[in-house]
Amino acid sequence: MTAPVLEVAGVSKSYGRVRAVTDVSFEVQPGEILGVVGDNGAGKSTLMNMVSGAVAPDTGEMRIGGSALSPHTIGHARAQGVEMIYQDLGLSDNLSIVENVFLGREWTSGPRGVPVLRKRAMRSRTREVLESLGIDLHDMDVLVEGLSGGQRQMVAIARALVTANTPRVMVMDEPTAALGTTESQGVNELIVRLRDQGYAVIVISHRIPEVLELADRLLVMKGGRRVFHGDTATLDVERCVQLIVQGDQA
Amino acid sequence: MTLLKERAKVRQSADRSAAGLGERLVDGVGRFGLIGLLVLVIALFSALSPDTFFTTTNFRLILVNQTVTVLVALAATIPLLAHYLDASVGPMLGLAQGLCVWLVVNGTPIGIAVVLTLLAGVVVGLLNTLLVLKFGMTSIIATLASGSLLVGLLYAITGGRVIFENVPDGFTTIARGDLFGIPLPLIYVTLIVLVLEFLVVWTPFGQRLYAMDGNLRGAARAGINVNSYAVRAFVGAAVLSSAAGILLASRIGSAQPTVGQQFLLPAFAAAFLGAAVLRPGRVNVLGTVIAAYFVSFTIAGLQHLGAPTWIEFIFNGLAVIAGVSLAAFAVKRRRQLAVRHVERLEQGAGHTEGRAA
Repeated sequence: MTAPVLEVAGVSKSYGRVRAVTDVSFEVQPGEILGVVGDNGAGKSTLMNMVSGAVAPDTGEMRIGGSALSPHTIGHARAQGVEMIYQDLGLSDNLSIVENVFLGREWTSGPRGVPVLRKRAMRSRTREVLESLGIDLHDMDVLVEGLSGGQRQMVAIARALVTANTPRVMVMDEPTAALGTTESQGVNELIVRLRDQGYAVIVISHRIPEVLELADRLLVMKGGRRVFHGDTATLDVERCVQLIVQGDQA
Repeated sequence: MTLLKERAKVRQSADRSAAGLGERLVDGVGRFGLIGLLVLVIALFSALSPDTFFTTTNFRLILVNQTVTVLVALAATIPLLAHYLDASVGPMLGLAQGLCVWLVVNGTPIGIAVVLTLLAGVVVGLLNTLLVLKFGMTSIIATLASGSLLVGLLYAITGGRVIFENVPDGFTTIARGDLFGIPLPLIYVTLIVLVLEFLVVWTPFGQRLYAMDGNLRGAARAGINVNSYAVRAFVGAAVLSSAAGILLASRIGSAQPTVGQQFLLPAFAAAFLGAAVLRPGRVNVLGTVIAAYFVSFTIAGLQHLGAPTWIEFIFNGLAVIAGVSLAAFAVKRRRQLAVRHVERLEQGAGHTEGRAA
């Protein structure tokens, strides 16, 4: 087994008197899909928000590629190699595919203080990234509001991969929650392809059968605590649901 | 070939041929219709009033007179790019013209008076941002409130009277002079329009403001400091309004205690109507300028034909209604076209796959 790309050790987070996450540890290998499941309020989102820099843990330690991971912001986490794709994808419908993909990380040239957009280069790079993932959305200038749910998901993923500083860990929150069967299949194919390209992918999901089939390993959360962390091969749907509902008493 | 490729693989030529002529015609009318209407309006009134309307003097007068409105309309446009509505742009213009004239008649050097007036715009822009971001007020309520403060300040500065005595000649030359026969206000406005168009279309600034309009939370999660861009939008609007106030005061050589609010509706009429042109459904700099001149040429033409002065208010109101309606229609249509465009791409993929098989 190779060294983990992401190590999370004993992290906790409270909001006032509410303990959202308590002493959770896990790790992810490069080229691995880690599924994260749990009921509403189990602490999945808080845990991933800590990894992606949206919130700071109260205690615990995180490491990426052996170095300390202590992001203050989402942008800081991104710079350290963690990219989060939220359930709502965060796309702006009124912008084109290429504008969305490069939003907040636009390629510019020109003198300092006068950044001129390199529109052609960004268009070309967007097409290149999408094609590397096996996606051919031919027209990069089409507005995102015209895309289907699955295609929007792909644009969000392309956004994570487009810069030279490619992420080592991609966290995807419910990537197929709003999609039909066919489109979910397409997105899951893409997640597998990302894994095969060496990315560590963390997938938060409520779809137990789907995530058991997709993920290599699973992290099950209940009441802010880790109740399972291991190979999906050792679990079936029934056992997984038991863990989600009853925790480690199951 | 993967499922994903099957859904999207296309050829551009297939796409182009699939887009109907009618569809492209409607799209073209949407983008350039107002420019055509502007030309039509000028041609019509020139034909109807060849001796009074179709003259160099009249055209020059309309172009120069409208520069103040264009500046205020651009001030309204910048926050609108990010979905903020700044209702204080009119009162800010009013305060700026009062403050600048008050400063120069009280012995402040002209250059310093101009800078101080622009700085007052920065302060008002920061106040508006504070109200929206820190106090959680909606932009329209926040700026209506700050606008009222500005009206009060204008009355306090002018004492409710017109200030016209002891205005130095140097101050009026700011707006009354020419350069190579071109009136200075036109040169100022042209330069400002070019800079703003560049910033909005060719730098991340405009794209990020548009992104905030489309999905504020998403823009923040994309790593954009949305608060910083809100500051820039509100401060930019207030500074442009201040510039408009200075220009107006310099042109008329006095400060009026009641100027300001009357520029609000024409400014938003131009901004909203402009959203229906060039980039339909998107507020945009050049669209605002075209719309402002469309409204002014139409009103001037009607008045040359003997229309009463109140026609201006009627027309500005109609322009806002038409602008907002057209922009809403353009957004709906843009969405439909985008969906159809993607569907065509997918159909094109099906044909391609079929041929390949």
